[in-house]
Amino acid sequence: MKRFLLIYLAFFKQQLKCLMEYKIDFLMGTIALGIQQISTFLILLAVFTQINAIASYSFNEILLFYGYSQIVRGIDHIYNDNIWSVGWGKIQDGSFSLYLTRPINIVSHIIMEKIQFDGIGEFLLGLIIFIYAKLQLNLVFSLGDHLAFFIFLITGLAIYFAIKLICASIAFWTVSSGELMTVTYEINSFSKYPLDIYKNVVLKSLLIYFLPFGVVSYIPMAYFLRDNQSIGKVLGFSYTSNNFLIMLTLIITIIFTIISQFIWKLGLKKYNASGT
Amino acid sequence: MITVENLTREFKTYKKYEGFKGAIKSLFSNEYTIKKAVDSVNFTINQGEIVGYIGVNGAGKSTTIKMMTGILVPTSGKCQVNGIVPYEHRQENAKNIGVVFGQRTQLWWDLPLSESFGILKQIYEIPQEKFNENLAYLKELLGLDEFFTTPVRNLSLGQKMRADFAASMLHEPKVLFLDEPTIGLDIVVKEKIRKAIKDINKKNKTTIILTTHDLDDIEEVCNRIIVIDGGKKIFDGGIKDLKKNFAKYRSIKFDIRHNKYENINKLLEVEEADLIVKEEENELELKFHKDKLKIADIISKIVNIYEVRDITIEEPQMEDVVKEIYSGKIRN
Repeated sequence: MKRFLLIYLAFFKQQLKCLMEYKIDFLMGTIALGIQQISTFLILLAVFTQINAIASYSFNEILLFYGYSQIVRGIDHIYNDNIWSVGWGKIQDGSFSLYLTRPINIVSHIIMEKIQFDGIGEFLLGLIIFIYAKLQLNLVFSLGDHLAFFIFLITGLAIYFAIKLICASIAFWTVSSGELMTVTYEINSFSKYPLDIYKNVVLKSLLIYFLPFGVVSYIPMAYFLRDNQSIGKVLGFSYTSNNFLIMLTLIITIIFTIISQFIWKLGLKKYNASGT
Repeated sequence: MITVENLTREFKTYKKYEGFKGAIKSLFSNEYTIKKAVDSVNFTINQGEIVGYIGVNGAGKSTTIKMMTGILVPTSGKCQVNGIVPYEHRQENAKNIGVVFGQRTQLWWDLPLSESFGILKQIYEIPQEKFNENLAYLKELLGLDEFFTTPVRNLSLGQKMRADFAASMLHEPKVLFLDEPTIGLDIVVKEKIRKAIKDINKKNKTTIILTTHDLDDIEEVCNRIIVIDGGKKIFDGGIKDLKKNFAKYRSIKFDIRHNKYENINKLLEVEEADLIVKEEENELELKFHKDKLKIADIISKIVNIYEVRDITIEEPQMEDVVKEIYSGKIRN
């Protein structure tokens, strides 16, 4: 672990230096993402000038979901961006081979190699929106709530990680899986809003059990805002204890982590190192 | 140090049909062919050897190297590097080996060498003292100082190659794999790399395996050659043996006083394929199949006819040997 941190630190220092070198690139990236965020935000605002609530969610509640999902997405974007390159060409051109010759874990090596500073804007904006909405809703977290929040955040990141890793691994068989990764990743847009607003049952269960982006942001916020009954409707079954939601999140996270590791390892054996 | 036993790697290629219709057909067909890139290869390499691994493009050189470095998993057979099975204990193996791919840099594009080396130091857990020592040595050996703080993307091919070479040696690996380390380089840099290979081999008793198409690399650096063709090992031995085995033709030059333009093929009773005659002013050059003709016979017959001032017998050239191998003649 200490070794891992030392390597990460070495990479991080270099990344910062590179950032200084590509100042304009960084600025453009941050501004572009910022504009994207703000426009979504403005659409939300416009919608809520006309109506008071969507599927019983008030403007501030929707904001809480939106802000929280951006926090998770932002953190994932910052630290776990380079995994995209596996689907987008590293396997195709064979440059993936290099990682196999280094005495450290391949996935950590890939992740450490790039810190995506563009994601900072996404994260900060999400954080601001979340805190604002939380204050407006007079939502006060107890110690247990803080702990739950922390568990949700970690499991959310782990789920993002697993989904991206699975999609990237597909490239071991298909040579390139960038499009698949993009499509899958974009599905998480649905999970920016509470899942109750969608009428489609298939979409809801898809986002909980198949591509669990719903577990990343819907379950955590619903945990704070809604009761068992209305969440149970989305999940497709009823339960009694609120702690069950934490258990469910943990179980889904563990299952997906195991699946992703399995597919990744299977893919590594399949890797055929194209190029000379 | 390295043992390779019946090492085989197959690649599956799906059958592709031509044209647009063909593309659709390929999409739904499941036909494939299996190609053995490496086919039951066996060899053992001892510590301190410099082995040239040669063969035509697509003969299976890189595939073998990739299995020894843990990049590829063999279809069957076994290989061990330092007692470690590379594709089973990849990380452990990686600590003991250095790898250079001539066509691909292992350095970080945006970072200067100095910083890349700093990261490698952490990755390979090189103690500070050893790092400083090795760095000073490699800087001197490869002349890295002039571009040590330039970002890698701004380096020339020659500089990048030297840098890559140094990067693979920082952790003092016991085995060094060089996949076409001199490709595309100018003669001066080539010399530098060759010198470095020999130097490191001498200093640390590093076992080195290199693939190359450059004949001078082979002659100057390697003390053993393994030739692979169509995935199969066809030769394993020293350069002298290689020449003896594969150089079918030798040549002999006579310095003559008067040209006579005799039909020497008739004289020696051999076909034209086995004896190529080139007679120029005051010079007669005979290139002959070494199994079909004896050098003594040739000389005695020629001396009878021509007035010979001098005779030079030429050693078989590496170039001829390699040409022979590459043209596929020795496959049978």
